[in-house]
Amino acid sequence: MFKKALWQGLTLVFAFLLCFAVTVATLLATYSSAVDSALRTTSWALESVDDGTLYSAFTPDKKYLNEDGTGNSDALIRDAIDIGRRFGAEGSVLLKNENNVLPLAKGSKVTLLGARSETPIINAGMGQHSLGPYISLKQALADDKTDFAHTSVDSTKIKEINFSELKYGGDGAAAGAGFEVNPVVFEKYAELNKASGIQLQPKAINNNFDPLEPARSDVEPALNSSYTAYADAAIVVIGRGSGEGADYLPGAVKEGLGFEEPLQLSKNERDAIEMAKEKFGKVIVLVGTNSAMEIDALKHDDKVDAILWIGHPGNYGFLGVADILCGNVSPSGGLYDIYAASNLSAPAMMNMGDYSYANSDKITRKYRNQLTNKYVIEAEGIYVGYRYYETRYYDSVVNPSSKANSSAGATQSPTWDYDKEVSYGFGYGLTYTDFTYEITNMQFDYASAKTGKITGHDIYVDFTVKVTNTGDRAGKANVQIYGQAPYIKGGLEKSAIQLLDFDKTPLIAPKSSETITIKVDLQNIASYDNTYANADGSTGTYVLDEGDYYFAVGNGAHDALNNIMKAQGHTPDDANANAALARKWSYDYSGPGNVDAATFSVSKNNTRVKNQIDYADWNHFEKDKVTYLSRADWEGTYPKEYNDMSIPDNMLDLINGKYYTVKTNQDTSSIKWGSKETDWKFYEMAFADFDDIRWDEILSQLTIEESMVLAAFGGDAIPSAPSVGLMEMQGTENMGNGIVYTLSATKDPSAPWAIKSSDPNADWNGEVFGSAPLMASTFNPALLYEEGVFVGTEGLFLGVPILWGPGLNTHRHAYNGRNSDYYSEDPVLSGVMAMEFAIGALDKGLIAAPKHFAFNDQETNRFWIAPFMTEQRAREVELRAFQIALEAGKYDRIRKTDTGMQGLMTSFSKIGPVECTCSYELQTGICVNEWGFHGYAVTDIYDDTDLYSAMVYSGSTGYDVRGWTNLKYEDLQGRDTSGNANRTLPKIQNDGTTITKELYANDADFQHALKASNKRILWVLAQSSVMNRYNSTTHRVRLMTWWRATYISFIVLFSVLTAGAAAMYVLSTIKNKKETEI
Amino acid sequence: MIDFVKKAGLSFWLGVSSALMTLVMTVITIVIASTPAYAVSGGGICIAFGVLSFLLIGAGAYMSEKFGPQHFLTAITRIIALVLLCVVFHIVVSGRIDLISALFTWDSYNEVGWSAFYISIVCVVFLLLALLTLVTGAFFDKKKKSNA
Repeated sequence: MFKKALWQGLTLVFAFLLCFAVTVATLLATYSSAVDSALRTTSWALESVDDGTLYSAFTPDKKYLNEDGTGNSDALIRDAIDIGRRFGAEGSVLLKNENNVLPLAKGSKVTLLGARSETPIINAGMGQHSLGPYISLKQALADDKTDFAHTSVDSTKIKEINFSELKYGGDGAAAGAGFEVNPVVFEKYAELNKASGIQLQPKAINNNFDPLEPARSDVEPALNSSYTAYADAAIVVIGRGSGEGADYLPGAVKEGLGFEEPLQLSKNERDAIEMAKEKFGKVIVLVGTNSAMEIDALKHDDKVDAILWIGHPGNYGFLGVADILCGNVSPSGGLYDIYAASNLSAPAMMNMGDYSYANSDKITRKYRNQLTNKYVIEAEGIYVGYRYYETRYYDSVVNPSSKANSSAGATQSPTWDYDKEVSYGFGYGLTYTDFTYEITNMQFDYASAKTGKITGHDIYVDFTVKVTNTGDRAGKANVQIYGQAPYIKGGLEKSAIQLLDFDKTPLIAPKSSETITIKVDLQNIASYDNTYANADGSTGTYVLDEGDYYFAVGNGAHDALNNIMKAQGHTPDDANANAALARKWSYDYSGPGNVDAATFSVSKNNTRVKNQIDYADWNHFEKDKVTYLSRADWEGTYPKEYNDMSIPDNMLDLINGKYYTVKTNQDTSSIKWGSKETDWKFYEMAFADFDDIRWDEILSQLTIEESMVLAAFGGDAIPSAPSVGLMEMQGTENMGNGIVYTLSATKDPSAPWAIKSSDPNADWNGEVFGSAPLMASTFNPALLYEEGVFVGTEGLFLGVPILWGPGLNTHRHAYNGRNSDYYSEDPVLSGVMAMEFAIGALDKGLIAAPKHFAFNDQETNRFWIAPFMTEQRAREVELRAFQIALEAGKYDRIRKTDTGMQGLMTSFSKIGPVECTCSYELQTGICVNEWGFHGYAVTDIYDDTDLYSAMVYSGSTGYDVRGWTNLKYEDLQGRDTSGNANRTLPKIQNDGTTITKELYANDADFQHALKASNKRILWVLAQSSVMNRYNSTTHRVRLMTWWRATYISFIVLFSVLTAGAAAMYVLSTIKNKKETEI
Repeated sequence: MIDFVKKAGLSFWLGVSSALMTLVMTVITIVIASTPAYAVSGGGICIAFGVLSFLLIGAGAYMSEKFGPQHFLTAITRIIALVLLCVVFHIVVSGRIDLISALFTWDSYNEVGWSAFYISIVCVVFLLLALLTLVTGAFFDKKKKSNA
């Protein structure tokens, strides 16, 4: 009996293990792509017979290849370190340097203070995060080689590298800082940080925020016992994380920590600085944040000698920070955002956070089972970031009747005072040397310049600026060109100053000069008048008012504005303001109303520019319900909080997602699906022009099911379409700081340069660069282009043709949780940086797709939020960033094909009451028609999965449902042409209809939109590095990974054991029965 | 009946325990299947299989006393119940993979999602305990000796 029990028990045990193994195997197979990423393996690959054409369209630069053409991981990683280091060196911003306390002498003995000195924030919590080995601040300051074996985000290891072996962008500096760091205090922080659980990549926290800075009493004994031997300087590190899913919120801090706002310094952080002040002659504060911290007290503290903003430097950026501290490099960055004394002084802060409609009961549409009942009124109008502070400053001096000096919005004194409200202005930054600037030429460049009349739709101005290094150190200088358009009181709102373009000089030796020419697109100074009555009966366009336009260079927006004010004869707050650094252009326009509404009324894509998104403005539905901030009356229009808005009846259908009605009576007989008349294959369309007539034919070959699936499935994988020979392939996503896969997990193992798993650097992950604001603060477009080329090269090594990044929304305020992911509050700085990155990436066949288009102005309620604003605000701030990047006008001039960005990810957010993904006006009216965007616009993950018809019709080209639909390559290969797409698409729409091909049988509009969507997807892929792998023999193969072999082995093993145990159970039962009978 | 219970062996009690845990698991599955926005696809199958498993395990426990723990009827009920529970396990886990992936990356502030995740964890724990006790019960071969 015992044996019988044993065999029955074992049968059940093995049966359970068998079932478990099958379950695990099924899950692993379903999510093989994610498993590959995690385990650094490759499950699927495209395979082709080499006909001599493969891997020739895009190749890594020779420096990344060995002599035999195989990949050189070591060279790749060294260049990544070099680029990351230069982001740290050129992006860090020196805000204060009293008595030239910086740079510190080589060999200095320093003490690091602050929890963030031991556990530095290298990147943000999600989105712009880092993977793999990194170089810490301490290592960069004190070591002479990497210690990747012990310093890694995820415990992966790669080869160690001596700092002295690294190059430095050709500029000479190489070795580390050569400091000695107080080990006692450092170890104390290590112990305290371990106890507190402080993270390397923290997110923004929207409740009970605690920076986890230890108490003074916990640190001071270690400091007292050791600091005298490391007393050359104290370097105090403070910082704030940021990330996806939450904002910092006003007052949302943990009680008892001695601060009221999350971006203020807590008592323990202030105490760390106090300790430094008490014991050290030199106190340097490093500010590691992308959410503007309130550091006004440090600015005015005589005992804080230097402040260096470092952002989140990524895996290697601390080398660049160390280069600044030791003087290897003179800092050359400028602030990406304005730093206010109190972030609550920004008018945008009057309306941020959680707002629900008062009559939410009228709403029927739910998303993620929540009513789409959230909104925010962006009543600050165009006055976002520095535009507010600088314009109000200007009016306080020039237009006192505007009540700029009133108490409205004042936080530091009874009446508003710029010097008290602002700590450091946008674009501001110090260097170790001195530069003088001279505008040597201002040359207008438009078609009819010779006649003196503007007849075309472009105006460019070439500013030639001579920069002279009058100091005694070599350094780079950033050159920022600002502009001011004439403001007519009570007229169109205009910022008193705005960045128009910028560039960076090469390294300038002492007593030497460099002359650079910056071509400014005057589109960037044109104002959008959404009330202008066009001759064709439409409303709204870009205008240039007649009057005096001023242009200036300056160390940031405030300096440039002061130079303009000086040139205008006013008295700015800076006695050193220089009128010679400003130029006036008097625009004498003789057209109607003295307003030039013609020049920029037609886009670069030759499309009439007119209002598209009137519904963005609440006042479109309820006249004068919202008062937007106006410089005509700063006091009377300063935003109030709009916390009790009720949906008017004429807005309700839009709130409820009724954007598109499926047509039932259109003639679709002429629309071809599944045509056999032609037999074009996808590989034959490599690099075909967008207007190539073969596209229509290849689109006709697609079945409607294939077409619907292609439009439904984007994100990290692209589905196959057998009728045209398109194979499933991988994309990936992040914020533009590298590609997330490890080298050995390449999706293209057949590439000659593919890194083998035996390579010592096989575990290196490409997501290593710093935060977007750090990149922006370099004011160096060439460095972003270089990064783009490098990340494009990563794409070649990793077999990835599309990167859903970088982040391109503008910073509405400091509390936005995703400020690390997006470059800046300024659209020109943001747009140019994204454009350069994307064009660089495209040179290596990587489609960089910026996100989130558009208006992701806060993370709070991000899935449901409806931001309301004027169309002027939308176009002059947020959309201008995307426009610059997508048009890529700089590159259109020298390349024969459309080289603008070719990818885009849409936003979770709405614009007004309309989902951005479903806004025909935004996606097609503006993006496609005005800007000429031909690219692939995927939704954000799982977004608006109940609005399929509206999404496709709007012009969003791809639907990011990733694994949700369970669409698998095998499904598509196995189906017949009668179609079974229903089971692979999200079935039920918001209006209750089920998605089937029959649903659209009589909807020609939808079918045409579907074809347009497919064309853009296929065209983009045909421009990408995936064409390296395609020819007539290309097919998809499944590779054997160790984990697949393992689960197959277990299934076989447990099957055998189960069968064996069952057999023994039966035998023992029979035997027992016989024994019983005997 | 009382006498039956008093005489019941360990195999019976493990079977009863397994059945009860299966019942709890099934109730939780109903919650999972009806969680707004996070309803597991195939929830109906899970509930049906849960109920069926409960009945089979209960019957198995009874038969282990009636016919003996190693009787083939007992064994068959156990094996069928085990397979059904494994199917439920597969449905619940695969139905939560996307949610888990989201919660640990881009959607970590999704409170409703976390609730759905935690409920699923409880469900899986009860399911595994049910399986464990079911399998363990199969190893015990003797009925409790009668004192009579």
